[in-house]
Amino acid sequence: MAGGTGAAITMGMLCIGVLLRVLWRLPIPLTVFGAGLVLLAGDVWLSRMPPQAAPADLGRFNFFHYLLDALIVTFVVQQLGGDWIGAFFYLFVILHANISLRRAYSAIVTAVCVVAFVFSVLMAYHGLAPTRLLPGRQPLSSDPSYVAVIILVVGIGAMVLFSITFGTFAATLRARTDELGEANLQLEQAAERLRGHRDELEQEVDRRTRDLRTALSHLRSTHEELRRLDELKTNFLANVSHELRTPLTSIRSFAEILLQFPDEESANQEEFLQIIAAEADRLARLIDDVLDISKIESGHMDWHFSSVDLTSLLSFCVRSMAPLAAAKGLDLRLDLSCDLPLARADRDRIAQVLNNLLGNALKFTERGQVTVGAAASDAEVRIYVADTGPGIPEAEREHVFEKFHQVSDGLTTKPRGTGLGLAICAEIIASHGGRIWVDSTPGAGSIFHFTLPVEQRDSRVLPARRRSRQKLVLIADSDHAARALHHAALEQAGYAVKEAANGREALRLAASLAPDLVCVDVLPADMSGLAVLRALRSGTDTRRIPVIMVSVMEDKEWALQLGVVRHLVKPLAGAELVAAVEETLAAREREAAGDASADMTSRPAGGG
Amino acid sequence: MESVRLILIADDEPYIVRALSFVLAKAGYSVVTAGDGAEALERITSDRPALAFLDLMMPKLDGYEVCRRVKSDPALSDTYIIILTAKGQRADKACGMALGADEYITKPFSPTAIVKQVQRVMGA
Repeated sequence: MAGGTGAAITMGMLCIGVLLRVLWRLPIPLTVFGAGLVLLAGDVWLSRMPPQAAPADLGRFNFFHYLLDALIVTFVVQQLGGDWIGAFFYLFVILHANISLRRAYSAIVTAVCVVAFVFSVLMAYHGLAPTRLLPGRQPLSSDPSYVAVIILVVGIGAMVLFSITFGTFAATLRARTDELGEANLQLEQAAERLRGHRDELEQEVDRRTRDLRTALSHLRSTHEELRRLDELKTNFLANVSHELRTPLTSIRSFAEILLQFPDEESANQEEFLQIIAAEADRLARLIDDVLDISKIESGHMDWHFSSVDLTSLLSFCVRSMAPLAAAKGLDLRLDLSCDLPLARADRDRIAQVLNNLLGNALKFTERGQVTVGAAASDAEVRIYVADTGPGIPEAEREHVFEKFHQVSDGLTTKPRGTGLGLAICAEIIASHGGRIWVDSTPGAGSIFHFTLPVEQRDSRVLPARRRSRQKLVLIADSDHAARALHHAALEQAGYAVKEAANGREALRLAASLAPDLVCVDVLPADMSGLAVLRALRSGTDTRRIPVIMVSVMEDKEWALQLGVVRHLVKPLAGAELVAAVEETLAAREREAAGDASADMTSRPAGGG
Repeated sequence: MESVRLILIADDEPYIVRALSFVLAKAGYSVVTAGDGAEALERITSDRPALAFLDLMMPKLDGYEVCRRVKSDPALSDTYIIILTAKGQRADKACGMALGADEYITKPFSPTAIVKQVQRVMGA
């Protein structure tokens, strides 16, 4: 430490002085040592000065320090008669004082001191400064020389001035440096915080970008889906148009021919009239089929689900087809090993499926037999229609249920079917939640199978469930993740929940389970949410069930006009859905209670 | 050698074939028929009718393909081709004409009008 160095030098000075007095008997007065001790004390005190002191304090401190030094030096030099030894001590004092300050300006002060020292020596040598120590020279006077005093004062004054100025300057510099250091620290902290904010913002931007990308890809796939559906619809219309015009052409042509050739032979006339009649029938059947399939696909079909006795239905269908079989010489039989369980189905539509399959079998089989049979398991019943006809080639088997597909059977002289029969069967079975498929061996025959779900016993507990507290909510959404999320939220809130992954399943479950509320997404994969909604509103079993619609579009008016009770916007939090469900059901209960009390008040007082 | 009074009717709808054959026979033309595109091409090649009615939606080869093959074969290209179909869109018509068909008539048609058309093309 600088103060420590100064203290060391002062000590050194004292030692040298002691040596001079003791060894060479120079008359250095004891007061010099006393002054030296005081200087030492001053140095020690300086060394304890805290470095962080305010610039003003430091300057003041330095000032008093050096003032003290100056006084002591003056005293010392005076004692020594202002001679070169005094100057020597004087120089040392200055030097040590400088060491405790910054080296930068100590050079200047040292230079001043060197000059002062040189002047002192010169003055002493020329007798201007009185000395008791130089041999042979008498002091001019016993008073210290005024020149020496002036030099002393100037030197000390300069030194004091410098020390104050530069001391203050140094202190200020130090303080400013500290301030800058402090400010720099704060700036760095601020920069650090900014970096933190920037990182957070970047993460947020990343998150938003990811969300946007996901939304964009959803939109893209929805767009693609819509485009595909539109294309299918256009193709369907083109096909229907073609199919309708064909019988129409025959009817018109032959009518015109009959008019133009009234004298044509009667055999021909009869033939032409029969053709007209047959083609008119064909046109009528085609129109029925087109309407059927359009209704099912767009959700306008009015399903009437009930518990169907399959055994009696199968017997009935087989009996009604018996004359046709007999006319062709075919063997038609019903193969039931046991009684079948009840199925949850629309009786008329299943009859339609059976008649279609039986009709095809009888039409395409020339000889042999047609067999109708069934097998049952816990969950479903499988019904099959087997024939010994020409069979269906492997390549065609996957297309057989497509619209307007006609099996190329080589029987071009016979009037063909509408091409929609199997497609309609497929739609009906799908709407029941079953499967339909065909096995075939070309040359040996074909077997058409379809399944129907067995009526579950617990669905008969419906009225009891109504009386109990738990409400059933049906969720229809093609997005598996969203379904799971809402399912969990509703179950946690105490509701029983059933899920449907597509429109058809939703309608089937709505009809058979009679839930208390249905929640529909706008675009399940096979039918639009709109179609499902219309179907629910038109079905006799499902008309009164409240529907909540969830969509990405914000246009509520349109949805409410279609009859939804609430319209919620995606993305939908589980809590939001639960709240909407509770509100809706509560409102319904109030309505029902209101109706009930109205009923009660209208009853005669004696009770009904 | 082309037979001036021979006409081909190619359509997989038997009643249409019957109606057209009847009126054309009444008008004095000879008629051959085909039930699918392959048979139609065969007939054109072997019997060389002067005029051919082609339906578009036929099994095996459709009307477009038959038309294309006939018109690109120098030996057959002078056969007068009338496309007769229920497909009435502008796009379908343009497609047919682009393939070289001489005429395009949509169903339902009037048989008498067809006969008049044939007479105009071939000379009574």
